[in-house]
Amino acid sequence: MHDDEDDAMTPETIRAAQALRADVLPTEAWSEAVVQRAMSARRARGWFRVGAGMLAAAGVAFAAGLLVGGRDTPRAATAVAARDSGNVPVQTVAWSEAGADSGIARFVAVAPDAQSVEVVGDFNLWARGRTPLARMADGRTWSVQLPLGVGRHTYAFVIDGQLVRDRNAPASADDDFGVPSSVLLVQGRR
Amino acid sequence: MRRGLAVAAAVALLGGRASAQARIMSDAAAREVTLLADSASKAGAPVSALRAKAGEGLLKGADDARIVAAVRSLLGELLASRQALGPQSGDADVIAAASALHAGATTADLRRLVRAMGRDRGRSLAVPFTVFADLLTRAVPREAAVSQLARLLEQHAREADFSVMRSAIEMDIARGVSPGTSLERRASAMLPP
Repeated sequence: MHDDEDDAMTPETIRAAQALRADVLPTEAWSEAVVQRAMSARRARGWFRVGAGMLAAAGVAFAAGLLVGGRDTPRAATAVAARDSGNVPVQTVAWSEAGADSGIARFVAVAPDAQSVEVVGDFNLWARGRTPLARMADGRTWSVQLPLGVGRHTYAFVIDGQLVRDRNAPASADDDFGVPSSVLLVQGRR
Repeated sequence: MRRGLAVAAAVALLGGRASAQARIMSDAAAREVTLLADSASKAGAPVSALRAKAGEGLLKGADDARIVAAVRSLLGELLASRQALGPQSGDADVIAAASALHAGATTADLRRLVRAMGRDRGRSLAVPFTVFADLLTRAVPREAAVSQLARLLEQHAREADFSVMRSAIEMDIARGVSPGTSLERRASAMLPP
């Protein structure tokens, strides 16, 4: 994965976008199956051999599972997304792929009516204008990828100037300002 | 001179540009943040985390007093983490450990996880500490969380293992499974037979 692929839709990005905007989102059973597959992929000595693709799929499955919320109708998923993003009709997701001492984080938003989408977080000192998402060819999906160090990162989306927490990620415990953030876990290949 | 430094710090915190939502910190508050950052630097704590915290407060429209209090609180957690983990620990580990402390962990918990690394000592603990913080945030009992994470570390679990377990637990909780039950079930499933 290279930085110069920012403008390209990677297979993982396409999967995430498809999962987020599908007429019928992946079912809870499918999400569980992906996670179970990841958890059962044990190495010879008893531990896992979890590939980056599988982890990305698990992340997307998890996000999609949350969006579905146990229901499998598009209406239910849309309602959840609209409520969770502060009445902004968008869906958001972020995940990372492992590197040696860093990872590649991907932030994706399906926001067809938005004029601007960006991500702010500890990695850019929560400064506006530093990490915009690019609108993809479909006109609905916004995406950016960036290298992040291994560990914990807090972030939020800014959509048309409105701070939107990614509800498909754990909320940050250290919300000191009354406006929750999300946590992205970036792992290395260790 | 100090006023100049304070203004420079405020500008630096904003990354050199003001957004529609962010505002400029007062000189006095910026001066306090600068002093806290100096303390962090002298103690070997990651200053970037403090700058990010201040930037987050500015973007979220918090008042100066709240921002300074948050930065001061974070500094305390970073210093406690650095002390618990030892001077050789990396910044990512210290930041993740501080988030665990903020979520309710104790420094004894941090030291227990460091010990559990055993022969893997020297590996980063940033991912396990992050998972620890997330579990506490999701109301997993502290003792259960640290015990299960220590078991996994003793069994040389990899970062990817913790990541998958975290996703699985989040999924369980979203379905209504109690956090403690989910942790026990998922961690047991991961341990070698």
